Amino acid sequence: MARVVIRNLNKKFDAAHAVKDVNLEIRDREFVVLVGPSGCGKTTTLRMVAGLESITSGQVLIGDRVVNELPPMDRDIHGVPELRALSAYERL
Amino acid sequence: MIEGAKWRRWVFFYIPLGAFVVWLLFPFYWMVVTSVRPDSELYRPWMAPNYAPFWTAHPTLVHFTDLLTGTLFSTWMLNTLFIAGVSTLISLFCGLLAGYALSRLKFPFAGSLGTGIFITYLVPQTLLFIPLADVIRNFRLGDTPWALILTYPTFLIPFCTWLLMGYFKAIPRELEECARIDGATRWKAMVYIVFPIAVPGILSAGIFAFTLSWNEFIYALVFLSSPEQKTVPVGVTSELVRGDVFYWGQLMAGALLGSIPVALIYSFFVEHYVAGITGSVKG
Repeated sequence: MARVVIRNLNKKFDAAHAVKDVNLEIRDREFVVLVGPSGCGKTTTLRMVAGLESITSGQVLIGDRVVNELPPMDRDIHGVPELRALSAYERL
Repeated sequence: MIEGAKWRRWVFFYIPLGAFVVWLLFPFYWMVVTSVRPDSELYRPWMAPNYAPFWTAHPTLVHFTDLLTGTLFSTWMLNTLFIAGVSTLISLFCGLLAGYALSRLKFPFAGSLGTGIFITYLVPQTLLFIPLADVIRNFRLGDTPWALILTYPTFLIPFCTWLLMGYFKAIPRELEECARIDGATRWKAMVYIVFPIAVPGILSAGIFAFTLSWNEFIYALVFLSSPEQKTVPVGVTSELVRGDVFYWGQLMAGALLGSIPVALIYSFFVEHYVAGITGSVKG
């Protein structure tokens, strides 16, 4: 079952509090869109789910597993980054 | 290219460019002419009626044959090649890992560590060779190639690290992150994604490091003493200047032959190398 649960997720970059107490449950086969103004923490939240950013406090669960300390490769998820990297891929 | 009338193109482009090329290439021309000039012409006083400094009427290869048979020049070339090659490899390896770590990994004091490495590069060699001489003596490495192979990285590693650090910073992070989400470890993402993109940067760091160690003079002068251990810059200047007698023909022949490997390397990699200077990934 592919469930993603985010509990009291926080991210602080030095002084800046980028993500503050996010709680979210995405059920299996549910389609969710995160919408918000630029700099509100959408990308940071997703990066924490993917494991590309360390978590200051809170929990991320994929399935029933807490994945806070799991490296990205072991989380069994996929992502398409913002356009910048795709154009660079053409050079690879 | 400059637009407009023909005279403008000549005045602002061709003539300055021509003057610059002449200015730049004259020392090399001088080197070539002096190396093929017979001694009878070389030591002719400038007031002599047949004094011709810019060309020679009787070109000869005697200085080259003297250099290759009468001195240990080929040994010096091999020494320099070995020392420059090994110290470049060591420095490139360390610089790659350090540059990657400083530009990508988040760890405490990463910024000040980077600055610290750069500051070590700023310490002049003329100051550093005194304590290093003591270290070399304690390790009993004096008069061996290892004295230079181990001391050249003291300025090559900071150099490579800084060059590659800037290069890695220009490569989008997302590329690596894609790889990591899709199942690569950080090490794999670094080796298979980042390093191939950074090839121009790695090549320019390598070429610069090789040239720096090929041309290095003061450490080679201090740490090596017997003629068969010397490198080209030191060997040529110390063995071909005897007292106040300068063997100009052989000196210039040595300089010419000694600059060939570096020139070859530059011309082989020039395309990658220019790409390295102008940046690679367009993001």
